Amino acid sequence: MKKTTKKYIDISPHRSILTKISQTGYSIQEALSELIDNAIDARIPNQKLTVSIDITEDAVVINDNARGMTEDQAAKAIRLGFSEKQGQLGEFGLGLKTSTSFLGRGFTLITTPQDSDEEYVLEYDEDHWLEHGDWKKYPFIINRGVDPDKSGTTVIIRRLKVKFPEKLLSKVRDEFGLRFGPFIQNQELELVFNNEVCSPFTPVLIDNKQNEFTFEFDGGRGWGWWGYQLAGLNKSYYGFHTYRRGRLVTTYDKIGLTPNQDIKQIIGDLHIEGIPITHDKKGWLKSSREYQELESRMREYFKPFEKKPKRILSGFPASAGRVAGTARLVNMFMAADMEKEMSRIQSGDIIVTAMTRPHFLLGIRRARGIITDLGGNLCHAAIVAREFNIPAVVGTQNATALLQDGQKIILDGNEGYVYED
Amino acid sequence: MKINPELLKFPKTLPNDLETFMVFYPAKFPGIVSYYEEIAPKIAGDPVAFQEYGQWAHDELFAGFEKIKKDYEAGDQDNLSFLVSIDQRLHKLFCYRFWVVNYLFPDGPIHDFFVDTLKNMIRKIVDVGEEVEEFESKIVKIQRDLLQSDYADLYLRQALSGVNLVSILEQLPRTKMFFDNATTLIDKRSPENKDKINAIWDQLVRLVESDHSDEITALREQLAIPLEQAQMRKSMLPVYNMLTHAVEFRIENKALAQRHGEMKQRIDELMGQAKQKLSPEEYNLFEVAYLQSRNFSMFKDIMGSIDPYLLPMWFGLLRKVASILAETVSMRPGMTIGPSTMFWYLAWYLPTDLKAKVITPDTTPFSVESA
Repeated sequence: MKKTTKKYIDISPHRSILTKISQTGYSIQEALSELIDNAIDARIPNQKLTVSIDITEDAVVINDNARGMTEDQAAKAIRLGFSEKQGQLGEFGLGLKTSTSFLGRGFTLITTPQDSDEEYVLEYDEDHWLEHGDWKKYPFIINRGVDPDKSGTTVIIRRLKVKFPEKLLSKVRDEFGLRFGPFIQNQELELVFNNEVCSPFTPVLIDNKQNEFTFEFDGGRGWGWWGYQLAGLNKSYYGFHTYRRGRLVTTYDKIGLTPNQDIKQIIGDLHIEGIPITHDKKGWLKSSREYQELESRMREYFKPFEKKPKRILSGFPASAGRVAGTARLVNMFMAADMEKEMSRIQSGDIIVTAMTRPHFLLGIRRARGIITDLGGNLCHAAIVAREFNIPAVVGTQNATALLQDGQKIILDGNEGYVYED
Repeated sequence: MKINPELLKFPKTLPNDLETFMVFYPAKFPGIVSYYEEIAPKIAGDPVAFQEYGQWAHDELFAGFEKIKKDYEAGDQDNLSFLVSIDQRLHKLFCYRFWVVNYLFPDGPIHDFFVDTLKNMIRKIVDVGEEVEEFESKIVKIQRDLLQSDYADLYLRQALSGVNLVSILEQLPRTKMFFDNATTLIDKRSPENKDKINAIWDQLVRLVESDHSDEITALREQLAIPLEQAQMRKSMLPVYNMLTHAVEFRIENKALAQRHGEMKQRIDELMGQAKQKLSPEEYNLFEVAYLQSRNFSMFKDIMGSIDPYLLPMWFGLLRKVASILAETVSMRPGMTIGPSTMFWYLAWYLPTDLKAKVITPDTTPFSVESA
C-alpha cells in the first residue's frame, strides 16, 4: 500500500533569475521603452509629461517629471512580477527589472512622489546581488528635505552591457517617434532623446488621405486609420502600427492584409482593445478568438483596396524612389515659349519630356519626378534627378506619346517602371 | 584593364539620339567610325587619357567654332551656297569633336559597361546586415552617390549659387527689401503671384545693371549664368527664374551645398571600403568604372558649354536658309529647328548642286585647320 507524506519545500527563485529574465530577446529600444512606459503610467493628469533619455558611453539616464512613486510603490518596484497597474502599460511588473538588467550591471532608481519632501532610492548591483542578495532584506534608502514642488523618477543604469554606436542612436530616436507617436501627437508626452526632441512618425500618404475605420467584435474593438503609401526601398514596410492603450505593440503588422503589396501599399494605425498581448508586449495573442475575429473582419474590409496598379511604361531606373503624381507633359526641347511651358509645372507634378534642359531648373526643382523619352544612366535628366534627389525613369522611348497631360501616375525610380494610378 | 573588344566598336544605337545623328553622321562622315574605333581602345579604360582627350576635344571644338563663326560673320549671309557650306562645316566639327565625347562614349556600350560594373561591384563591398531590404537600400544610395560623384554640373552649380545669391540679397540694405517682398510672395506658393514676383525682380535687375559698386558687382557675378541666357534669349525671364529659384529653394539649396561639400569625403570613404573588400583586379575595375562614369558626366557638361554660342548661330543660319528657300520653292510646313534640320528637311528643297553637297559622303579626315 502506498504511503504519502506531504512536506513543504523552498521554491523561492534563485537569485540569478533577476539577470536571466532580461535574456528574453529584447532589443535596446524595447528595453528603453519599458522604462518610458513606467513614466507614462505615472503621468500627472492634464500635465504634459517630459521624459528625457541621455545615453553616454558609461551610463543611461532616464528622467521624468511624472508623479513619482510613493514609499510603498518604490519599495515594491524591485519586486519581481509585482504590479498594481491593471489596465496600464506596466501591468506585468517586470519592465524595470528586465530592462535595466538587459542594459547594464547596475542601476539606481531615485523617485520623488508628488507633494512630498522625501525621495526613495533603490540601488542594484548585479555582482553583489548574485553573491549576497537576499529576497527578504533589500536595502531601501529614504532621503528627506527634497523640493516638494518637484516630482518624478530617475533611473541611472551603469556598467552598460550594450554599446550605442551613433547609427543605433538615431535608429532608436526614430523608433521612439513611432513607438510613442500617439502620445507625442496628442501633446501628452515630450520625449527628449540625447537633447533632441523626438518627432512623431508621420507616414507619407498618397494625396495625404487618411480613411478612418472601426471594427467591433465580441469582447473588443479595433479602430484607427489607413491610407496608401508607395513602396519604399524596404518593400515590407507596410501594414499597421498596432497600439494598445496608446503604446506601440507591433510595427508594420500585416493583420487583415495580403503579404505582397509591392507598389501601392496600405499603411495605418490600428488601436486594439480587448485582445490580450504577450507578456513581453511584443505581440498580440494571435491564437485568441478575438484576434482571429478582428483579422477576418479586416481582411474582408481591405480586400477591395488591395488593387495592383497597372504598369504602362518602362525605362532606365536613373534615380531611386517612388512617387505618385500628375503627369505634366513639358516640351523642353522645342518649346516656342519656354517660360509658359515651365509655368505649367506645379509643385508635385511628374515631368514628362523628351529630355531635360538646364534653363528649366525652376520647373525641375518643383517637380516630384522626371520621366524622359530619351537618355541613359548618365544623361542630363538622370544626373539632375540624382543631384536633387528626385526619382526618375529615363529612356522610355515613348513616354511623351503614351502619357496624357494630367494623368495620375506612379513613377518607380528603383525599378524603372511607370504605373497608372 | 581589359575591356571586351565588342564594347569598343562603334555604337549601333544611342538612347538619347533625338537628332538621329546615329543615322546620318556615319553616312555623311564615314571616317567617324574608324576614328572612334581607333581612339576607343586607347582611352575607354584609361580615365586620365580620357580626360586629356576630352579637354583636347573641347579646345578644338571651341577653336574650330571660332574659326567658322568668324567666316560666317564675314561672309554673305544671303547666299544659300555659303550658308550650306557653313552648316556642313559645323556638322563636321560637331561630329568629330563634340559627338564623340558627348554622345558616343557617355551614352554608348562603354557607358553601360561601366555603370553595370559599378552596380555589380557595390554589391560586393556592402556588408550584408540582418535585413535584406536594408542591404538593397544601401546599394541604391551608394550607386546614386557614385554616379553623381563630386562634380557639380550646370544644374547643381545654379542651385549652389542660389545659396550665395540669397545670402547677398539678405545682407545688402539696398536689396533686402526686394528679397523680403519677393520671399513673402514666393512662400505663398501661388502661381498667381508670378507677375508680382517678376515685377520685384525687374526692379532688382535694374539696380544690378546700373550700379557698379563692389557689392552689386558681387551680386551680378552670382547671376552670371542667367544674365548670359537672358542676353541670348532677349528676355529677362531666365534671371527672374533664377532669383525665384534661389528664394523658393533656399533651405533645400543649403542642404544641397552641404551634401555636395561632403561628397568628396563620402566618395573617398567608399573607395577605401572598396579597396578593402575587393581583390586588386576588381578594385582596379571598380575605380576605373567610377572615374570614367564621372568623366562621362563631367564632359557632357563641359562640352555643353558651347551650346549658348553654337546653337543660336546654327539655328539662325538654318532659319535664313529656310527663309531664302521659301522665296522660290513651296515647302511643307512643320520644319524642325535642330542641328539636323539640313539633313532631314531643308536638303530636299535645295538646288541640285547644294543638295548633292549635303547628301554626298565627306570622306576627308577632320582637322581644326581645315574646319
